[in-house]
Amino acid sequence: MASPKVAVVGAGLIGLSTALCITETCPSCSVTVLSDQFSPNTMSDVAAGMLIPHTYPDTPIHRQKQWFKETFTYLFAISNSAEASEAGIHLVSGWQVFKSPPKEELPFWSDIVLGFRPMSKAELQRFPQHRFGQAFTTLKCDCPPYLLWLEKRLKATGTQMYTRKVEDLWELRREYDIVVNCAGLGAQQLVGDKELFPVRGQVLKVHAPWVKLFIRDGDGLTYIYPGVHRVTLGGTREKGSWSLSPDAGTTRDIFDRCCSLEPSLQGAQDIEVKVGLRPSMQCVRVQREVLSQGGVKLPVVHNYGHGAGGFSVHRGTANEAAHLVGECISVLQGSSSRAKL
Amino acid sequence: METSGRDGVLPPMVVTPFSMTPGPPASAITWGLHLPRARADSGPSDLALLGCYNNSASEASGHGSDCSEDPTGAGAMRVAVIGAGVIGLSSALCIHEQFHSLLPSLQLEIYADHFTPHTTSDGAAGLWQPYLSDHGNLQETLWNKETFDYLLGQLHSPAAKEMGLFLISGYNLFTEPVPDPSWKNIVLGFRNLTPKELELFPGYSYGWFNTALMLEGRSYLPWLTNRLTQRGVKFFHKKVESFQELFSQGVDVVLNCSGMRAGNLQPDPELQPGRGQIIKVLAPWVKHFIITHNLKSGIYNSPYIIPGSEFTVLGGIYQHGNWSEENSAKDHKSIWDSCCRLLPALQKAKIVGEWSGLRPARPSVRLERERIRLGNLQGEVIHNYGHGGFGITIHWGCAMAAARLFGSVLQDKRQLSTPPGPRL
Repeated sequence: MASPKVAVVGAGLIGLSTALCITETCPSCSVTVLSDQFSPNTMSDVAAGMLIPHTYPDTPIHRQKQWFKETFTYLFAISNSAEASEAGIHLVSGWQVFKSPPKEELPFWSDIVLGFRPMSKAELQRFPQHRFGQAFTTLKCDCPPYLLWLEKRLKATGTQMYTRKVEDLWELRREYDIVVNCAGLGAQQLVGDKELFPVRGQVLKVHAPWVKLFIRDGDGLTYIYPGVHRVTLGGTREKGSWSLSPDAGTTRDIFDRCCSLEPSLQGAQDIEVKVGLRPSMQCVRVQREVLSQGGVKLPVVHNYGHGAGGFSVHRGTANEAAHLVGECISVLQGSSSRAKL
Repeated sequence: METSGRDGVLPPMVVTPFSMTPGPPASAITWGLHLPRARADSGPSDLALLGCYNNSASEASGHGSDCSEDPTGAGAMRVAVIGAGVIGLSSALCIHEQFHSLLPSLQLEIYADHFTPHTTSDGAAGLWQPYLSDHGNLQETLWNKETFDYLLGQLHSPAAKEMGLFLISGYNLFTEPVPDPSWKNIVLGFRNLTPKELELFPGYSYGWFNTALMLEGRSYLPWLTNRLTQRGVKFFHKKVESFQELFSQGVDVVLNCSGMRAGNLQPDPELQPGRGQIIKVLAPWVKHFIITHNLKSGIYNSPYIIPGSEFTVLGGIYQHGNWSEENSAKDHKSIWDSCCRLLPALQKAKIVGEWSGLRPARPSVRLERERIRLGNLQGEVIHNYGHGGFGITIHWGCAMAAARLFGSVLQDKRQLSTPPGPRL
């Protein structure tokens, strides 16, 4: 097999970063990205893109930590390079505050972010309703810039990208040797995964350029994340809701909650309301599978179900998925050489 | 005569300079107050007794040669502030806040040849950060702390955005270990940098991280101007040539907040320009200040990057004794090259402006009273100048100290039996 043809389904954060990893680990591959949506209309575009991991209940912690570490290291290097502004990657410092004691004093990622430490008493005084806090510096990926930058990198490798709604993975069998499923929430229909469910998140993107620090309530519901041009205010976690329509009452509620953490937001301008559905599962599915139908085989690599933590682990899971694609190729090359004998 | 359009924000009550009017000698300040002597148990309620009565000449007692009749009948206490930068405006506000209710006849006037956005304070990035060492000048450290605490207290007020006040975190970088600064416990979350953080800054092996404040002059000065205008303080677009000029017009107390040009009013060889130049760029992805230090070249002669609310300031020039306010191409290149080395992504940043200014540098801030006598003219001057590159950082502590000095001036004039203001 001279040039394995790989189709990546999905052009959100996971699809694009996985495609890019595949071109890096398997330069002989011909990679094509297929998606019904591209940036700025993917679910990933709604997210703030903060590197603060979400803990997946059923994925071993060491694996999550490895994914986060790889992602952080990768983005850290970009943030420190001349490409930082184009890629939309930047460092941001701030505070995570808790009303009641956090489950863990030291989250598994505390030694990966920069300068992690408990907040001082003077810092906590800014948050009279909160009694505990953590201060650290992490990275943020602004979208659309980051996704557009990934697309640019992909095009430079010769990767083709097509707008196409894939209804069934089997329809790709004739044109492609391997299919990589990065369809996010779409995997529910595409591969019939019943473990996957949406967690609706509404956010406000506002103009408040004086906000330089992030503030996050440890309950994960209220957060203020300053991006390159806009500040993302959030949010909600509505399990099972598929509604993509903004809710006015929710907008008011998010704004009020954020203003109580950062009163100067009262002066925020140009409020844009966005809704995203987190493609959630108990664990991220990064897995190889061989589909079989009437004697025909289709190697598939899954990489979906990142829920609230996609940005934090995207590069790590993309690396793992690319590695699995490599395994698929080895198997195919093994069987094709056997076929020749 | 420069018009307000070129000279920035002038509040509505601008009056053209007037020539000296004939009248009573400037030393005539009639108060006619009869005040109870301060009692040991004086409390705030006693201050209510300290009302100032204009023209109650009948009660004038024992003021000696300072007292003569005031035929104009105004009895005003005229205080002139020279300078409308951060020091002049904040000193004026502090004095007005503390004394106007006690002294209804207080008339505050601000004289300046430049108003915002054309003052030195407007050019400063606005970062609250003192120099590395206070050289044992604990008084200045205290004023810095008072300013920081005051601003921190304003952060959650609705005025914060209008003041141009917000929190900011960032890095101070060194090529060798240095002692902790005098302000380490004033700022929030001060700590040393970790090895991983230092990887971001090749060439620097030691550093600090902390959260401080930004107070942007472009917003703060107009905000101060509005507060002062609301309080009836009058502004005069005039270059004051001498203290005598004001005393002869009937001003009682002068607040000398003339910054770099203080030497024109009274020679002061200790006051020297610390010339700076900055490049303004659009780099909204930069969320931290980054200040490098080269202990050999001295303060601010090493690149620094300070992100504001609208643009980011690149700097790193401090030329002692250089009076030029022209932008230098050589300095531009030095700033640009060194800042791009520090943050490679800046190469893509769009340049939107450039500016040079003179930091009014002095071995220590001059904040003191002086009684000026010239012939039969006399008056009190309160000096408040020489804040170098830390004017914004120290301004409120100095304003309060100037207000205390003003209180002592009033006390000497027997206007008040006890000085007002916070009881320390």
